[in-house]
Amino acid sequence: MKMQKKLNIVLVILTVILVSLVSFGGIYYRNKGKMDNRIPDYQLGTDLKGYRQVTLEVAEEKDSDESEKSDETENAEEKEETENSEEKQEDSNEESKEEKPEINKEDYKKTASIYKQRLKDLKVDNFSVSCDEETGRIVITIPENDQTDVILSDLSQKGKFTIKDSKTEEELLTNADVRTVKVGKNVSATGSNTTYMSIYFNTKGTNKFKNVTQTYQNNVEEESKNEESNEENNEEENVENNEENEEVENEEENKAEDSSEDEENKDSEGKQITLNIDDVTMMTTSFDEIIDNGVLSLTLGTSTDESNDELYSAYNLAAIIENEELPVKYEIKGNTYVSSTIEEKDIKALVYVEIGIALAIILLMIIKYRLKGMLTGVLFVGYTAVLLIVLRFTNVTLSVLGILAIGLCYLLNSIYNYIKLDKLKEDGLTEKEKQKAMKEILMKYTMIAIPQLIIAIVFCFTQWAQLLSFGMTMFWGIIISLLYNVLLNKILD
Amino acid sequence: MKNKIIYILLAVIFAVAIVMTFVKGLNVDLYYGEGYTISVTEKDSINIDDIKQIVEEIWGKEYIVQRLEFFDDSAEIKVKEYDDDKLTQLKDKLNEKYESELEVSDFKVEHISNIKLRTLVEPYIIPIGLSLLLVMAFYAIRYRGARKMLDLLVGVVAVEGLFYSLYAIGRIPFNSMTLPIAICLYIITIIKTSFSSENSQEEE
Repeated sequence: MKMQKKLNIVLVILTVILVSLVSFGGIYYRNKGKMDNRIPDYQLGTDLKGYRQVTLEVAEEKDSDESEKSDETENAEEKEETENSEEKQEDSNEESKEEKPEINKEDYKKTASIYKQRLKDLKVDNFSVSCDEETGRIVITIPENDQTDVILSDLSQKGKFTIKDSKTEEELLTNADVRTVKVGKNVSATGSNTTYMSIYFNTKGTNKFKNVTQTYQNNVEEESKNEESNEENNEEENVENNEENEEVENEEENKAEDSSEDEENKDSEGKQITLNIDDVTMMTTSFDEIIDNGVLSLTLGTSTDESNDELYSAYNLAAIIENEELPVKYEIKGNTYVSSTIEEKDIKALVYVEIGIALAIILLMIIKYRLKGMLTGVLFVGYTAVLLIVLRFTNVTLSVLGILAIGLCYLLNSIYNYIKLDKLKEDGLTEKEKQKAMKEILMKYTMIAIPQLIIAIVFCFTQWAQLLSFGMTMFWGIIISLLYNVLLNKILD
Repeated sequence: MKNKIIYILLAVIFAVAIVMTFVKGLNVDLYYGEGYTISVTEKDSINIDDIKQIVEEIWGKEYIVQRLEFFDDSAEIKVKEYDDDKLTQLKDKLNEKYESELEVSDFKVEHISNIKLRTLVEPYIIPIGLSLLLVMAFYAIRYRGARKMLDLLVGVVAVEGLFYSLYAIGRIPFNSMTLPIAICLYIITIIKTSFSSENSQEEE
């Protein structure tokens, strides 16, 4: 029995050494003439990698040009009609006086908060938005990834979403009528990606949209003739419409594409609407039937490209549509990649501090519990090695908080060992007493770990990268600690 | 009696910290604070440590130097204030170091306004609040009653409050490590409270 126990201890120590070698060293193999590590690299968070810094300034040039032009025209008019021009000039002065104060600190603040909301909707983590309330200058920092350039491409958009009558330019629906916007991608069997967008209108918008779809049907004349008989059909069609939404979307898109060619014909056939962002027409379309569920489904495009750029653009569009229009027009003045302020040496320092604390704990255990303390120290190293391997294989992104979470997991694990060593310090315990004590130790440790597990799980559901990193690391740290200790207890005791 | 004194002391410290925050605000480091960025681009690659050394000679200790772009030829220096004399010194020292012919006009100087602390703290409030509520609910079930739950709440408020007071009264600059440390303290407090609660449960 004693021999078996000694053998188990030797086996556990050897396993710990092996796992530690793999975790801290890696498994290297020759690949295309160079040595590659089979263990994945750590995924570093944006606070450790760097970010994109974008400077936005109020776009004033166009406005000033326009005002200059209007001044010139007013001067010309002045020569011809003095009285009228004076009135006009007064009016225009009054207007300009009214316009200028329109852009004030509140507008800058509101613009900054809309930018924040857009970035939140785009699920961008670790971003910051700073606004100079005097000049309106906004500096945005966002993490550097695949989505960054796509986000920046639409950053200067004011985001005025309108659905207009194609002829009269009458505004039928705006951002204010939108509740939310959803985006999706469908990959067909042929490998082509189709990006969809559904605009969900709010209660007021739904009614407006229903009227729009009623007014802008293709066969408007026939509809008006057979209005009564079609009411029942429309209801059925709407039910079918929900089921066959994609087909309708394709039809709508095709119509939009062919809109320029068929414009003259359609003029005679019926009315059309245009979907606009900042008064730039994205799409011209009409409807086949009345839509009363308040959802406008659109097919944004199909591509065979493997990149997600189209999808990211759709997300951008969605964030623009579902938020308010910016009160001030901005333009990008600077766009640079900036490295992290936390340098490699800072991370190393943090890791060394953690290692130092860990060594101090092990030393204390050895002093207090001698051989058992030494064995516990070896198991500590094994626990850290296993945790680091799991963090890499589960692609947990490590931020500063993630690195600190490793230290906290270590602290929690050392509490288990402290409880265990303290309870089992008395020699001469019978096998039954030992088993009972082990159950109590595990129960006590689990009860201490559960609150941390709750916190870790809550943090895992946040979108903020720092907390997510912390939550994921803590989650794996606690799970591994429980499993590792249960398993080792069975082998060693 | 001892506890009462501690609570009164804590209340006084928190009150002073809150008053300090209203009167003076929290002190932030240069990264989050207002300042000026000076972008420098050389023809050849630059060493960030060299740039740091040069900047320290001109501006002293308070500065941030970050690498710009991926070509190792640009850096961004953030300082609180600048004047033409300091920019000239920077130009001269860079020209001397890299044997270049930079002019002051080659520097891109921009004013950077401060990042509001509220923006930084905001993403942490709901997750921490929610997790605390859930942990308190667990405490209420596990220890059958509100006593331990309140102990936990008092512990968390006391520790986090003291940490905040340290920054507010001690004028310690709020930096990128402040929030991570605050979260670690939050976790450590819960571990400590759970540990002592389990011990007292065991004794009972």
